[in-house]
Amino acid sequence: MARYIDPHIHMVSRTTDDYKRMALAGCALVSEPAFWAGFDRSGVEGFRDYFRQLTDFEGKRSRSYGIAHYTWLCINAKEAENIELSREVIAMIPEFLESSTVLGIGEIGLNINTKNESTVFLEHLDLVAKTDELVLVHTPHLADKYQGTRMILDMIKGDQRITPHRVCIDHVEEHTIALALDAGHWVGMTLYPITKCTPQRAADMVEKYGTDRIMVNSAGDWGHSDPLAVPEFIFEMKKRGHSELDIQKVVFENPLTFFRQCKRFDWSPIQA
Amino acid sequence: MRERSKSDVLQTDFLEIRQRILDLAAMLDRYDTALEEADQKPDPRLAQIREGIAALSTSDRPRAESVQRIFSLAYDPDWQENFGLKRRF
Ligand SMILES: [Zn+2]
Repeated sequence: MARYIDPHIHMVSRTTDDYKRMALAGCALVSEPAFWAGFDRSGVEGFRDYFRQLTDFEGKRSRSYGIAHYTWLCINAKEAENIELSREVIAMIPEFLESSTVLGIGEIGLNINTKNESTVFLEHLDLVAKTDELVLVHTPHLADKYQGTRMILDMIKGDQRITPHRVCIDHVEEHTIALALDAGHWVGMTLYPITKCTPQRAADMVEKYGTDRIMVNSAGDWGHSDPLAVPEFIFEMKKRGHSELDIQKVVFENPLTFFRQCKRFDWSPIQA
Repeated sequence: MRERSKSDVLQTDFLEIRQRILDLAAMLDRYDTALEEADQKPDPRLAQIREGIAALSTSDRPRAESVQRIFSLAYDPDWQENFGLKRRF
């Protein structure tokens, strides 16, 4: 059975049954970015509780299934329309940056590409530059994706303090993947029903762009999504006759290489 | 990466391609036979659909990328100035 990492999944919205099924499918580690709960939180304390859940409770839950749990902190693009709240959350994040399971700042990004979202994105980048953290970037859905990805790449390029290979541009698709790779970033392909990518299209992109700086995730959350999407990708790659080595690089070695740039990340497969 | 032959791909994908073309045909029929509203205005999504279908028959650039761009908002390189967000670093 192939070992894999799901580098983007919102386990707080999933059941323990999902942890078990993921463990059975070979999942060794998950990384969980902070995101929108489906409703706007009422204030900064709501985020503090969420960050406690991500940095403490969720790791305990995953450990009982033999899955390591790491996390990313931020205020997501949907709630970033509220600049005042966003600033309070960004100011509070450093309280959690010493936690050993925090990989960096994420998933920051754009949702419908507004001025406020861009302002809050820039302020997150400022925190990244000051704290030297890794970054996980959410790119918008559907019609907004191309425009939003270009805007995000402009903002990152505009901040000379940010090192491109310390940033992962997530949810890339056929029209945005080359933009992000050419800018020197890592990329994530999200296998998500309807709005994002299928295992087949993800395999097409790996065949076209190669296995360097590329990862695959489920972005499983509280919506219609599949926590076993990465194994679906593995299955598709095997079906096409790709080598175990190439597959393991994309679903296991690559996320580890990216995460190892975080000074706190000391997980090794031997612990698994 | 492993290379596949055209007949390998056709062998794997033919039935699915057939099914998806059929699905698309049925969806367009469904649209055509639906009732016209009294105040029906031209819907820009129809033009996107037409353009998308046309893109399937040309091969001057990767089709998946072409289709993605057809369904995408345009990017304005001056967006930062328009938002009044100056580059700070
Ligand atoms: Zn997410």
